[in-house]
Amino acid sequence: MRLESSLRVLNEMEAAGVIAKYAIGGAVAAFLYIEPGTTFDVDAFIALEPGAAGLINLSPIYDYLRARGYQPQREGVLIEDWDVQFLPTGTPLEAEALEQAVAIEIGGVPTRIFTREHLMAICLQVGRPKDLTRLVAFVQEGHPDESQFREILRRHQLEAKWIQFRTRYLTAS
Amino acid sequence: MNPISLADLYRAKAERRARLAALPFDEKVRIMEELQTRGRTLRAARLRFRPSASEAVKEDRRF
Repeated sequence: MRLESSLRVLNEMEAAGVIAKYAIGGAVAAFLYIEPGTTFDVDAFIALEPGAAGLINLSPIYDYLRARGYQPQREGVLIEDWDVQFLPTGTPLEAEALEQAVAIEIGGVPTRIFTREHLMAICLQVGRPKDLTRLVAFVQEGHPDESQFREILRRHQLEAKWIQFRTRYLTAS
Repeated sequence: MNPISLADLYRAKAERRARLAALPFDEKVRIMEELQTRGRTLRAARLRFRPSASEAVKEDRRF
C-alpha cells in the first residue's frame, strides 16, 4: 500500500495528456502539513473545462484507468491500493490552489500539493466540522504564512468568515 | 515524585501534535497508510459483528 505507486499513475496520466495539471488537496495534503490522521482516499484536483452542454466529462479518465485494470470504486478509482478521487476545480479558490500548488516528492516520486494557506482557506470556505477542526490544527501546528493567507482571504471574500471563525474557535488559544 | 497535572497532560499532547506535524512527508505518508490499514481492519471486524451486513455497509457509507 504505497501512495507513490498511485502518484506514478497520476504522473503518467498527466504525461499522456489524459489530465492536465493535477494537485493533491483534501485530507492527504492537509496531513502533510499538520499532524497526520486517518483518510481513505486521495483528492486529485484537476482543471477540466465543461463540454458543449456545460457538463464535465470524466469518462476519458475512467476509460484510461479501466484499460489499465484500475476499477471505479464508490466516488473514485482504486489505483494501487489508494482510492483516488478526481475532482474538477469547482470554485475560483480551488482553481487558484491548483494553479499555485507546490512541487514536492513522496518516496522519490514528484507530485504537487496545495499550499497550506490555500488548504486553510478551502477549509474555511467549505466549513464542515472536520474542516474547522483541521483549520484549528493548521493555525496551531501548520506554521502558515499569515500575509499570504490574508491575501487569499481578501481575494476570495473570506475575511468576514475568518473573523467569525477566529472569534469562535481561536480566542482562548 | 510530583503528580502529573491536567496542564502537563495538555502540554504533552500539544508537544506530540507538534512533533508529528513536523515529521518529513514520507514518514507522514507511512503513518497515513498504517492508519488506513488499521481502520480497514476495524471496519471489517464491525461488519462481522453486525446482525445485518448490508445495514453495516449503509452505516459505513455515512463516513
